[in-house]
Amino acid sequence: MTTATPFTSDTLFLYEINRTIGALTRVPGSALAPGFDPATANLRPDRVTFHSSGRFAYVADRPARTGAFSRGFWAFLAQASGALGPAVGPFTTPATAPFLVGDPSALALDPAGRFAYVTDATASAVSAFSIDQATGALTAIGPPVPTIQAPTSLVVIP
Amino acid sequence: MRPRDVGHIALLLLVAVLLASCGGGDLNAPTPAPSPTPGLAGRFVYVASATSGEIAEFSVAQNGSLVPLATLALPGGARTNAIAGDPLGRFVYVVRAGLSCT
Repeated sequence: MTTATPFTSDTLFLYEINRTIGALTRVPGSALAPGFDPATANLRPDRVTFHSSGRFAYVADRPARTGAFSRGFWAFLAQASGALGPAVGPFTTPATAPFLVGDPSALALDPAGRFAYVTDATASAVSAFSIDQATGALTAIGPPVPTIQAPTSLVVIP
Repeated sequence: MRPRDVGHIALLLLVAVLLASCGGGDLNAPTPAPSPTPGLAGRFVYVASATSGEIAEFSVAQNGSLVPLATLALPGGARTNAIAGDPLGRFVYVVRAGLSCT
């Protein structure tokens, strides 16, 4: 089962994969479980990254290119039906002087599912987080580490 | 050496062997933390930038924190907007971003 972001509305589409022929079938409605309203939560879904266990999905708020800072990543519990929720978040990168807020631009998880790494495009830094194995919540490990200018993508290699 | 002394030495050796086999016999020793699944823990992190045309290398410490390594420039001043790795950890793939049409 996979998810795809829509173009104009703040939700997620959900498609079920036919494991024999690979065909996708749209599941009506939103992938976000009832009870999670992205408008109320102020989440503009942009990208989805799954935890290696399949238990959580991290949904990114739209990044700064639209004129507003990203508000970070929400951790959703993934249901057997494919629906996502409930959620905890948002998790963002620490504010780094002189910037008042974090600007998370990309998230990657280690294959073991213990740590997450998030780049900050404005602060030109990368932050490490530990992952709560029950909820998917992120807790920063130390301060952000300075890196190349305006990082926008990253990968974790085992 | 009297037979009684030999017996004491043998007993001490037996106790020493038993203690060694029990990890010193310290019942208050902390339980070791579970180690990560071999082969699945992150060893390296690579960060790419759409504007700088560079790749930053990091190693991952035991506690998940990042240790900076080197910074590489992409060939020919190329820029990228995506980086990915194969699951076996042998290769990294970097997308070269095309020229802007603006």
